[in-house]
Amino acid sequence: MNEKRPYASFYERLLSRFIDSLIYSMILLIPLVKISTINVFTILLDNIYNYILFLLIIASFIFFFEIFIISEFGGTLGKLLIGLRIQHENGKFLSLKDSFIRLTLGRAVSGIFFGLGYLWIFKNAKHQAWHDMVNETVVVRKLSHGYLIGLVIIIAFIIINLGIFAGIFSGFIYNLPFYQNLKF
Amino acid sequence: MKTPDFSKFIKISIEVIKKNKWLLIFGALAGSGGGLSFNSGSDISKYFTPKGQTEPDLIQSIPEKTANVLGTYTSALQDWFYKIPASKWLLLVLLLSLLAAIGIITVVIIQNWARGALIAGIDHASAGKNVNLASTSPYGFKYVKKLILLSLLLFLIVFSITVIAPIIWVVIFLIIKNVTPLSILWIIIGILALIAIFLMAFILTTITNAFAQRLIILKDLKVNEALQKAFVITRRTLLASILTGVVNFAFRTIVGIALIILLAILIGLPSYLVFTSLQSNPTLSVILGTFTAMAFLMFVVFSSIIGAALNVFSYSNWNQLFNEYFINEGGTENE
Repeated sequence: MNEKRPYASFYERLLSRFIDSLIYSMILLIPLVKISTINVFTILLDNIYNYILFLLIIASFIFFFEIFIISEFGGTLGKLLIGLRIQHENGKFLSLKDSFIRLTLGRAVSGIFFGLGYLWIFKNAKHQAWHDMVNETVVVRKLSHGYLIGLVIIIAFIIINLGIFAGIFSGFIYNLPFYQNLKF
Repeated sequence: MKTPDFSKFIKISIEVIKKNKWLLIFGALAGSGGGLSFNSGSDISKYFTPKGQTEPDLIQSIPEKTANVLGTYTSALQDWFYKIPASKWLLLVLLLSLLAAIGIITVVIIQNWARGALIAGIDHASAGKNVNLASTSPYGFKYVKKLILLSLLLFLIVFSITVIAPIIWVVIFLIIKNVTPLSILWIIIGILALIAIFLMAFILTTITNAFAQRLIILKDLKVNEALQKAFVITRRTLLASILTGVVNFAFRTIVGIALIILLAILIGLPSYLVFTSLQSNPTLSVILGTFTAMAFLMFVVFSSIIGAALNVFSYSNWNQLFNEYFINEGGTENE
């Protein structure tokens, strides 16, 4: 019972959150590549409207997807990719209810007082943030060099995101005369 | 019930806050108003609706208004707006409703969890037990459903009063409207009566809510039992309860004024100096501006902690009043 468990550090958890953010930003940026190339006013409006719908769908989807994936596999995509698992002390994964609580109430608890709850990972012996303490969970390391994999993944996703962003930017530049002709 | 010793209440509440910093988390999430808060949502959007114009009118006039500033794109925008298929509007409404529902459910759970944990945490702290996030949060989860149900019941009571009372007023007015002096008298007396009814309903439900929450958490009662008992306790402790509310309100006001003064000194004065030195000494202005921004951030953190402490203070005072009632009455509240 008293064996030393490999609890994930603050930086590993931050790395996994960065990977999540980069995956989501990639999904959100891709449609903008198409929108940036449109130079017909009504088609542009149509696509902006569709993009708003897309954002709302993605926001809803991510919420339910994270609840499911944490409960079923023990972590968000970022955590799974670098070998981190969210679990109870007895090793069991969270139930759907616990997962929902972690993503809503838990985030509110840790986010209060300007994210002091996340910094608590540095202080706590089991590297628990406040949202872990609320749910009685820990984040453990399943891969010894997961952070190296994480760094490679993060670089890859940064390059992909930059590529997409460059595509959007060039589209906007190409369409600059069209935007300049819009009289507001 | 005799008037409690509020100086003792205040002293104990301050001690509880000082010795149990974890309670600040629950205090911050329990929402403003502490024991005096009530879960009635305020429709802020109505304040932004221009007078004499309903919201659907405003929505319909969006393309028209936008068109006014779009020059050559006027007709294209209008055409596009009206050509959006109904299915897309429906999808937009559904998605916004889903996200709003998630948001509302989340806020309700967070608030009631925090309230439950805060009341239990203060009780444990007063008994000298160890209070921390891990040990206290299970109490929040244990009573969250009951507290949500209680909030809904009390909301329904207040809502019924706010709907029924004006209807009765209108009906009586319609009956006597042909008798001019009587109708004028009814307008004056009726409106004063309505204000008095709303005020009484607010005070009574707030006090009942505070006691019912404690009966659920500290005495493990069912919601209906707690509500019935809370009405009895409210009737018996009305003056002491109002005074507790006044003490909490006075503390909030004093601290609020102190924070405004602090804000004026820390932010207002340097901001004035930034603007005055903007042209004469831009470098000094930038340095001063940076420090002012940092001071503002620190003030926001500080005031959020103070706000949380005030909530703990309010809840602690209500807990003490509740406990004192049971000590004084010796359990005769069942009558």
